[in-house]
Amino acid sequence: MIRSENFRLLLIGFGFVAIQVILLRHLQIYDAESDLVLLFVLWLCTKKDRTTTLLIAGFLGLLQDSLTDLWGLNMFSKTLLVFVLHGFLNRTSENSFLIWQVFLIVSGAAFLHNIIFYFVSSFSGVYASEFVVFSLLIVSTLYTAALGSFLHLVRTDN
Amino acid sequence: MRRVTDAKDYIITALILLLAITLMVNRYDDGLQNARKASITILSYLEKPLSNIRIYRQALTTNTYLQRQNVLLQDELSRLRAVEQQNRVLRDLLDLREKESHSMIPVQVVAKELAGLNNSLTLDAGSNDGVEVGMPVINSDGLIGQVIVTASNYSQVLLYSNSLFRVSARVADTRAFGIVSWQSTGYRELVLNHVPQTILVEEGQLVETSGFSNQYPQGIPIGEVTRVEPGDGVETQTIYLNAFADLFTLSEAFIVKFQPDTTIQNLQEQQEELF
Repeated sequence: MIRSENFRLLLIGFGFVAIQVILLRHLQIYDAESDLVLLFVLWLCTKKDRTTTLLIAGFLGLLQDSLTDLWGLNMFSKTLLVFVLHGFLNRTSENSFLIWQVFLIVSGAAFLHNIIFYFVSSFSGVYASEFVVFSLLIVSTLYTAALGSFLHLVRTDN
Repeated sequence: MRRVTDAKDYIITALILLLAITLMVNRYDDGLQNARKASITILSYLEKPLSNIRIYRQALTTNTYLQRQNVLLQDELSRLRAVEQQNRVLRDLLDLREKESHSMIPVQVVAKELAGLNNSLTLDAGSNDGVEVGMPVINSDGLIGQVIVTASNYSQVLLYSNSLFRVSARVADTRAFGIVSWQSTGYRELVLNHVPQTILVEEGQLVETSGFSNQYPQGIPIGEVTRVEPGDGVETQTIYLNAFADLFTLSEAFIVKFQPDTTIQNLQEQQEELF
């Protein structure tokens, strides 16, 4: 039985996926977009245990994939990222970070996510252009980190 | 307990990754096609409100691109028009050179003074090119003026729109002879005087050099009659004409290598000595 708090997080995740698919997908810089769902998953890593985060990340990844016709790519990369980084992010959750530290952490996580995403997409033959490497690994990483830093600035502890 | 949790996480991760790989591999299979169709339908419903924004952004991009293209095309068009104009002028000059019996020196205008009463031109040919004082300057439209000063590589031209300019002229195909001068009423408006009122002159008739003055060869077009007024208290009429040659757009011309007939000049000098 799904606990009500997890259900609430899942609903919030739906909202983030919707915003990502409807809005952020069109706010591109050099063909790169920021990943709000990834930021939500990273936040989840700092708040929830690994099992819950893995399940929510996998589910939101699947939802994101189904709405962007990238079946399995986000699901795979987000799940693997949570599996790898959850321990580190969960340990640091008690610390309060400066904005540049948040930027750095999110950059690293987004870079790792995008590398996994790129390799998996190369495997499935979704992207063929080398330009994608630049836009995905560099621009998208920085864009996501910038959005994450901004959300860190405007967040409330509640 | 921790080991059990870790094992559970490993299993969950493996299952999710396996599911993801299965989806990646089988995304084009029939089983997923229906799901893809459904997701595209849902997405289209979600995106519908935003489609206008996207169209607007695309329109802005297209607009910027088209504006840039428009500027480039305008630039190219004006250059082509200038080239076409120059080509036409040069062709006309070439035709004129072939038709003209006198040899001619092609020249380009290097300076213009058209604002006052003593208007003049400077041309890029001088005595080194065979230019002499008194030679007429023409283009394919008609008479421009007369060389009044020469240097080694440049020469100065007294334009028809100069208050000192005079040329003996006639209305073509008539016996209406007179003197054309400029009276500063309009920069292309000339006046033909000394034509008797008994000779009928009408608007639109061509006025050309008569050759009587021994300064210009006959038959160089000067202008077209625009109106005729009877002179007050005299037996001649005042004929206004519009000069053919446009001095403001003039950039190329010919100097006609015309030499006055010395026999006529000698006779004139002898006559002056007699009286």
